[in-house]
Amino acid sequence: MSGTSSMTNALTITGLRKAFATVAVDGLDLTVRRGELYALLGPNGAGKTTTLRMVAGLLPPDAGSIDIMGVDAHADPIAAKRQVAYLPDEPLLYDKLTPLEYLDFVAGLWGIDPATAAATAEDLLRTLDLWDQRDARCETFSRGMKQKAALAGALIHDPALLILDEPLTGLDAGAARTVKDLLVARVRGNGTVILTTHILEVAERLADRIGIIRAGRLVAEGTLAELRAAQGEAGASLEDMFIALAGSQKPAKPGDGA
Amino acid sequence: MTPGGFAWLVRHELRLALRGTGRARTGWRGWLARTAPLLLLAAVPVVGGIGLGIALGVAEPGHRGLGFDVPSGPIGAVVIALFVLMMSTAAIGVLRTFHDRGDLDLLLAAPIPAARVLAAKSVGVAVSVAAPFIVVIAPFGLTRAVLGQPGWIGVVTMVGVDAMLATAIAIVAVGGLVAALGPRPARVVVQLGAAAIGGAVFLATQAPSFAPILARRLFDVAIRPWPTPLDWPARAALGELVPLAAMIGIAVAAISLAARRGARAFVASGDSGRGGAKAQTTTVRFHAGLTRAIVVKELRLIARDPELITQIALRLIYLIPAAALLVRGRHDGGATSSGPAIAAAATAFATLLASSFAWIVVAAEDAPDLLAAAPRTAAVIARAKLIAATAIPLTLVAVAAIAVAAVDPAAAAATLGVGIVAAVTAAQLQAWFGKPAPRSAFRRRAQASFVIGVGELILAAAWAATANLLAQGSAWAAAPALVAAMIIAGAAEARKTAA
Repeated sequence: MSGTSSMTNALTITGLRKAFATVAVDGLDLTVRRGELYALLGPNGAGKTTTLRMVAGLLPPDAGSIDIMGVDAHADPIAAKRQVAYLPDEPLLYDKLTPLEYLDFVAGLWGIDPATAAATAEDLLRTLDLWDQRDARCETFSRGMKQKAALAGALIHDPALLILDEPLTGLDAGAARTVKDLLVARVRGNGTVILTTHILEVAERLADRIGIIRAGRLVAEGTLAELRAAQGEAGASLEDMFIALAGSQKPAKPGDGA
Repeated sequence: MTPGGFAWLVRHELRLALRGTGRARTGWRGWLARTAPLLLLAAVPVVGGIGLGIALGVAEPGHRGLGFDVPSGPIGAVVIALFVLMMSTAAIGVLRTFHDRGDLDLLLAAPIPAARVLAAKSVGVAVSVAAPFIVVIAPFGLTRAVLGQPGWIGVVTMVGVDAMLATAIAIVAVGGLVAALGPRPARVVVQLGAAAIGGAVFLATQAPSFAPILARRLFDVAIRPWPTPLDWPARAALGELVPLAAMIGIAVAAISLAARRGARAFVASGDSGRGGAKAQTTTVRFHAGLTRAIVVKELRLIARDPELITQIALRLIYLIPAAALLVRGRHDGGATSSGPAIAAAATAFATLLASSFAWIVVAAEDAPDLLAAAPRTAAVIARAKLIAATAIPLTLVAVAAIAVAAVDPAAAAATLGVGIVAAVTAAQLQAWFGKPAPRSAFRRRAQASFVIGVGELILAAAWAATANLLAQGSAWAAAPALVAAMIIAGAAEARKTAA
């Protein structure tokens, strides 16, 4: 990739391919700019989660390249992972740890300075309304609280690229607002966020750009206005366009595979 | 079977108990994988028991009871020992069924009386408690009963009576503990108590081998005739009708009462089976370092899993008689130092402990994706996990070496040297081949990999023999060490091939 694009792009995916029993991701090309919130949409089994797992270094691609903040994820996976945080729809938590202990552990994994980690942990837990539960074990948490604790874990190392798979699943309205505000604040602070969501209203209101994938390929991409222009329907809602482009009667459900 | 009826609910409970909590494959292969080991396990006592019963032939008129003369004292002691042993499994069963499983919300939300739901659960626990003993005793006992010794029906029935009484008491005791202490501390108390009972009963059965004088005294007490009605359990087991009917009545009444009272208390408390816990204020200090982060995390998780701790403790308790025999054997043989025996015991302990911990920290990792997403190489994480797995076993080895150092420095050196190698190799073996599974599958991990289970035992025996012989200054120590080295080399090669 060129030096200029690596300066402006947080993520560049080229010709990405992954097959299991069937092809999940089929030559995907995708670019996410630095400092933008990118919503990746698609019906069940479109390849969203597989793509995100490859970007997070959890799945090796069959072909193609992934460039994260100018780092080739294949050539230097450790340097690439240092830039990324991945939050799947099922929170990566330890039930028998408290949120503070969990954050201490994640900070240790990412090699964060203890003083910085402690301060960030307190800040995150307060922001996410978990400070009062900092000494309770995660096993006693509701789904939404677990999701927030896992989000705190994803943010403890201040990642340049935050990848969220259905981040609002199980959150009540207040918690969802907190998370959305937090994501917007990160993007304003020049952080980059990629998220998948089945709540199209979230993508419509938060995302700078939206990508729609179907059968492992990007079928449309752009701002909401660009998507409307491409569809030739000035007043169309994202749901209308999603159904038209993704060929599905329903948007993706939380926890969908592939 | 009427859906929602008592029998239907009992069937539901038994099905859940049979399937356990492990990950099961679906389809006929899954069914076969689940059922075949159970059938094989049951086939041995069933076929053997019936065969033995038939081989003894039709009872002669003079031997109509159990076929042999035995005083009621020892029989009563056996019935009570069985009851005590069942108390441990019943307490765990009640804890899981009533306070852990979390299907109570579903069942109690259904339009079925709560008392019926809890009665079915109580029966389910009692049946699962009795089943292992019934499978062993009933085939022989019922065969003998058919062949002219009806007294055996008393023995078989008393197994069921013991299970019902144990379950009834467990419902009340566990419910009381949960109400008094809260769900989590109660869980710890029950699990540790159950392990202590199980371990104590096991040690008592082994007492004649390693503590013959104490065992003799206990036996003398046990064989004395017991006053009525304390002798009812024994007389019931011997087939006397009135005590047998009385014991059945007491057991049925006890379990009915416990289920009813338990149902009322349970519904009133609103315990959904997953109870929350009070948060205790703790100070969490953030420190640098991947190894430290992983070791601290693993030790925290282990320390907070009393079920796991009790299962590990039980494995070690089962080694105590063998270790005691080893020490006694050396003294009987005229040896002046127990050092070599202690070296062997400590090494065997460390090997099995390291293997257990390695399975927990590697195979039972709760969030493998989190580790995979971290900016660390797999080798660095694996090394940190190995350190976490061996931290406690190596501490144990060090304590044993220090304890024996003053009286037998050679044994101390052997304990330390061989113990360290044994713990590390056992942990490595498990880390290489342990299959991912939830922590709750710890007890069944040997089933998941039979070869590794056997390899682990041979490795423990080989390293223990090495430590023992080395502590005695014998050159033969090289032989078991070679066996252990071959196991590790073979495992490394197999792993390379698999990769």
